Amino acid sequence: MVKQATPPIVEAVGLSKVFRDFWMRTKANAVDHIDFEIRPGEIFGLLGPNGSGKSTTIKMILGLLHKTSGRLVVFGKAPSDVSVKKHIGFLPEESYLYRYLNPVETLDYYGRLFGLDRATRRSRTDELLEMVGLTHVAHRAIGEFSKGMTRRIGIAQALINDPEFLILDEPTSGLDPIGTKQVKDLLLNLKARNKTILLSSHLLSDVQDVCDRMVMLYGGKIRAEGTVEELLEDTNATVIRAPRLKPTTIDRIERVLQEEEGVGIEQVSQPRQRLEDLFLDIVEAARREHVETSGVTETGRTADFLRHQEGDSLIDSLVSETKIEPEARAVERTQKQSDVQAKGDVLDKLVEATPEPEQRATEVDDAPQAPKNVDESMIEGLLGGEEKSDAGESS
Amino acid sequence: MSGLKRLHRVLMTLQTRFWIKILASILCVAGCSAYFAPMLVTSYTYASDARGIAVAFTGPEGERFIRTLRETGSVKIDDEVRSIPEELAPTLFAEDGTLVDLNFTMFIMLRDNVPDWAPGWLLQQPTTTWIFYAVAVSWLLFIVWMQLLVPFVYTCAGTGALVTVSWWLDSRDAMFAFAGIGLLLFTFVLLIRLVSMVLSSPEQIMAVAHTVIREASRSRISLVFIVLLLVLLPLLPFWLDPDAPLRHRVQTFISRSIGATFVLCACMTIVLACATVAFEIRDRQIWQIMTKPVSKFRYLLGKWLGVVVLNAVILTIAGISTFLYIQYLRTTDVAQGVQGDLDRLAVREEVLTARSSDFPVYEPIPQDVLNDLVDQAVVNDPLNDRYGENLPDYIRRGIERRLERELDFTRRTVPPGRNGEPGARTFVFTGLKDAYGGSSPLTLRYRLMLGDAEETDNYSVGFVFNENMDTLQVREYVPTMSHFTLVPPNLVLPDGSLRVTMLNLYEQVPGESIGRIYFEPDDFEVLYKVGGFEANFLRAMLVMLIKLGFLAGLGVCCATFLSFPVACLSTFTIFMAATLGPYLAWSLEYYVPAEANRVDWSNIGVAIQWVFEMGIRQIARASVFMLEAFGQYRPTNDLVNGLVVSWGTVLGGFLRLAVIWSGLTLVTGWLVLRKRQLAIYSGGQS
Repeated sequence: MVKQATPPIVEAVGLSKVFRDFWMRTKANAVDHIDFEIRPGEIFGLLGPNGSGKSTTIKMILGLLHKTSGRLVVFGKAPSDVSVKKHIGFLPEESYLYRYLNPVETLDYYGRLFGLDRATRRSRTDELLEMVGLTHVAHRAIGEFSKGMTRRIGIAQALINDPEFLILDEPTSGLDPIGTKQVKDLLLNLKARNKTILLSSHLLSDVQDVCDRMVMLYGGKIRAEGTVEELLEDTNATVIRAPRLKPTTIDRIERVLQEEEGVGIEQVSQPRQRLEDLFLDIVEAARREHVETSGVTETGRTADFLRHQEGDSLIDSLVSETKIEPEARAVERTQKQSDVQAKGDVLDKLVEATPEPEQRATEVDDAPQAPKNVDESMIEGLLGGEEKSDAGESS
Repeated sequence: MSGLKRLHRVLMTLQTRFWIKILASILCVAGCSAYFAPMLVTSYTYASDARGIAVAFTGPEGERFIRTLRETGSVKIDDEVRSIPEELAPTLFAEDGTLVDLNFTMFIMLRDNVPDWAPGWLLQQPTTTWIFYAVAVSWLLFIVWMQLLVPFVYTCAGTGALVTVSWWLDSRDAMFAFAGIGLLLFTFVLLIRLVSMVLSSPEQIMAVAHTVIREASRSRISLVFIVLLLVLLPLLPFWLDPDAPLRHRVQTFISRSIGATFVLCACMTIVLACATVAFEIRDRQIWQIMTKPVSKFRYLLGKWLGVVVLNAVILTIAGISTFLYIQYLRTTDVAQGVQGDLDRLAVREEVLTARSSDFPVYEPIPQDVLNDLVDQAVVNDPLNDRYGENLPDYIRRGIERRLERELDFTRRTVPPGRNGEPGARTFVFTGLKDAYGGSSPLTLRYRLMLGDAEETDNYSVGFVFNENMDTLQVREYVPTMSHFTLVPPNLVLPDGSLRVTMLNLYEQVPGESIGRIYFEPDDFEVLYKVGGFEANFLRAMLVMLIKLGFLAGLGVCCATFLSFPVACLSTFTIFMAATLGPYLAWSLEYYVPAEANRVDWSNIGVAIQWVFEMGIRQIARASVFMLEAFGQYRPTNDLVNGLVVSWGTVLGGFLRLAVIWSGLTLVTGWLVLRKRQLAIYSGGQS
């Protein structure tokens, strides 16, 4: 029996969009004969600098712009087909919402456009507002909101219909790190439920963290395409992460490398905590102290209706077991690298010579020492050491 | 301050409690019943007395009762002596001794039975009293159950404070105005809440319409017009001249109130309909909507429906307030004596009624007579000699048209009196079948000119009906002003015709330029009652809503492809052109460029001018063809003159304006929106 391939959610072949002025002169070739497809259940990234054609492509998928040439189908139909939109959730790059409506009215309105009944609208509205942390301002006009708060309502409205296909144009624009992290978590949650997501962003870290496949656009053309692994793998270097090492250990490692590979260490540096993590820690601490804020309060977890569906608890449990965290994926990627595998014996050798963890911990408390091959005079110069020495001389 | 806030919160919570709602409902029903019960009792007593009088006058002994009343000024009916003022007798009785208007006679006989505390107009119809009772109770119950009790109490407190100050300053008008403003503003809030409830279904069109209502009630752009109207309406009575006859006061109020309502609603409709679409396209909210499963036509239909529903709300409020104030106004003071009673009668029979009109029918001019006259005119004009036998057709047709106009004018003239004999001409009305056998008197309206007589002088004119000199009525008139006289309904013949002979009682002095009476085609008519004012008022408001519905469709359509200011300007221009449609059509009759075969094409200047004139004419004709219907429906004018706005007119207006033209505008908007790319290019130059 031949297994039938699942049709793609979006299929673009030779898709082009040319903008013309009043006199029909070409103003811009925004999208230039691009081919791509978005498969069910994947997070598809659309990357590129400003003006590269990302938003134009999205607008064509949504039927807001007409294609100039090529083929574009969404759920097997033309993008202008109204029935297609029943399955789509869309977050534009800026949230274009009614200033005079409050969040409850806004979500209720969009829910009604999807034909949701009153009970469903009400429960989803409550859950989404809790998810985006705006329950306490549910009855305040959106016109009074900050950009980030408006953005959160935008995200909530994009999810009101529990879409099969979610299109997010710069979803983390205007969001604080908490919101950014939440969006990423949300995307992974939705992916776990086999939802398809099109993510457009020029913030590469966002895309890298969550996307399965991506295309990179420039000047309306696709410049690169593939999975994250395919596109990001650097086969020319190997990174080994270890607890803090003594300079002597580093010397010994370098010697081993010289002996075995004929190469030296290119860079030795201390890992630093990511600013995002630091920020999240501080906010979390403030919340524990119940510091008042008029902005976004503690955001809830992903809305229930976006995590579960009636009768899918079993599926959910299965999915949650196989859910792949970004960090885990990173490890997986590293392990896949064949050259690292090939050097397993070298590592074993190094491990044998490495002190026990407790011992290392004690050593880490000592002041860090700069690697020997670093030009200290240059660093001192940058830090103003020259002035210090001058002052010393004069005294 | 925080204490007040806390109190407000407590009250707001309390009004949502079930037991509070029940208690408040009981109080509302009890309060209304306490006010309306005595009124209903009085009303039924009044109706019973009126029925007794009607039975007495129309029963087997009716003639005896009427004779007694005519001869003695009073009559005993059901052991009650009923009387009429002596001065009114000539007005109440026709020449043959019958009653001219039974209803008016009853009103005069029972006017002392109306207590001071009860509005007389309300007592005359028990059913109307019941309706008011039901409306008042429903209004209060809506407030209670829609959880608007606290805002209502606040509004009452604010309004009450202003009314008290006005009372303290002894300004009755200000008291009415402030109470009216408070009442109207609160009713607007209540109706908006009610409409929101009706529009809360998950249907997409309703959802879009609901959002338009919210936009209108929260955005300054439309609120300005709404608040202006709701404040202006209660202030309009201030501009009425208290010394003017009641009839003029009522007509002026209707004209200003309905006129202001329509103009402000039209402005709001244009602005809101254009804004709600144009701003959504400009501010890109439409992206969020068009990416939902809602079709473009449903979207536009929802927008249109929202504007129409808002207009319905405003017209309901304006209509009810205008209607109630008219009912109050008709009971206000009139001049003492007969003049005052006649004034009140005129209000009842000529303004607050629904009348149809009929114009005299003229015999067509036989073509052979006309040909002879043309031949004679050709011969008499020496300028035509140069053509000899080859007189061009166009000259002959021109003469024919001129003669037709002259003959038509001559048929609308009455020669002056000579040698003690008045000049006379008889006019025949043939379309009065509906008036035959009626009980209400007919009205003969005339607006006469007497040569170039001054508009300040009084002249006399006589009317004789069906060549019976017993029916002669001699009336004073001022040239160029409209006048009325009542015609007993029994004068209408069974075939629905009435012959009116107009007698020109002015005897011309040789050498004077005045003497001949003439009038414009629309200025001599017979009006007869075909319905009541209440239903007519309702139909007039419906016609206004239909017209506003067309404007809403036009605004929505324009906004699909034009920016807000341009869409507003375009819609407003079309609105003005449509309003002036009938005048434009009339002007077109006189704006006829020469026929093409008569243009000197060798003269380039003349040719260009002809092309230009033809272009203008064709544009004007197209405008008239498309928009004349809009201008033809003039409900304000009809209401002021007590003319009927028939259900046929309402239905015709609905089909032409609401279905066909509004439909066409919406379909046009839909086609534009389908073709148009809603997003724009946002990237850099390639």
